[in-house]
Amino acid sequence: MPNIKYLNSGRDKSKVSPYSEKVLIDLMKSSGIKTITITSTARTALDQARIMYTNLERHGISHQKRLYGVFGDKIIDEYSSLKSKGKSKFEIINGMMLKINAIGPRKVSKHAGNPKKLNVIDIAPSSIGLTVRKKFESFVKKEPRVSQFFTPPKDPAYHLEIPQP
Amino acid sequence: MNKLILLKPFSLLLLMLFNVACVASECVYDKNIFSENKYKNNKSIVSYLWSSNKSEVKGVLNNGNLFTIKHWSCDHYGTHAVLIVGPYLENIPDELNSDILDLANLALKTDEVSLLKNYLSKKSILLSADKNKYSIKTDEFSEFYIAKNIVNELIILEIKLYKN
Repeated sequence: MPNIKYLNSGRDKSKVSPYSEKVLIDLMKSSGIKTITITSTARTALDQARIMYTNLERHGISHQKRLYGVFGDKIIDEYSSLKSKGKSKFEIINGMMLKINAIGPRKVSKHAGNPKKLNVIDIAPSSIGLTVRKKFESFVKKEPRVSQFFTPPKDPAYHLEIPQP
Repeated sequence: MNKLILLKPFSLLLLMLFNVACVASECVYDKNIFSENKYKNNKSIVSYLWSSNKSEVKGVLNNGNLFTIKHWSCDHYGTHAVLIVGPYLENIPDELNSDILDLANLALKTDEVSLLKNYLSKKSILLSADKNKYSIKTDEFSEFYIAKNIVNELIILEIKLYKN
């Protein structure tokens, strides 16, 4: 029986539905893969705001502005504006969350959105043997339950998006 | 009428260019975070080849070791750095920490190097150890690991990190 591992089980396991697990197991069976490691899953706009707040506090505004594209920069501007007004951590995160929702969560992170509607999953390429990767990729590409699929080397991980029934 | 016929392909071209520009700006992470400048003035590099469309650099260090570094900055942010140590080593090191740090200084950003330094200050990566992959636990990256492998006469070191 194929085995799905989680790099951060406490954070991620609950974000992958039984439906998505079934899709992954089917793909693993078809490709002859025994184990995969999930490194990241979907997150809500509130989670995304929390992550961005933590990184802004850790690295500062200019560091994060260099990192993000135009949409992420708008969330950083919201943080900056609320911070300068002396708002509390809770108020700032809430404001950032509202801004993320207004812009569209997926413009700020491909993993942000509603996990109940769309499961977003990153799989560590290192968890899939080099000899079976092409086979795995061809099965995922043919899989109608997967709506979006990014592969290495264009992306650092296998990124799958699975709409929920 | 003729003018209209001529204008049509031109407007289509404009529309296509506009679409391409929109798609490019849809990147979550700034596409210009990584550039050749990071490697241009690095005195530890003897020779390198930068591929801007792949955001990838391959080169030789002044100690003769080969390296490959790939960066990502669009849907995901990340770096994968590989260093090939050897062959024909006069002294085969057992502790690989300094080679790993050299690779980190070459490929990663300052705050990422700090995370790695902190990890290595508590852990020795030994060539003789059975374990080949070391995950660095951090809330900032989806995955951050160091890996070492021996292939015949070569030691291959890897650092990979990414987030979304």
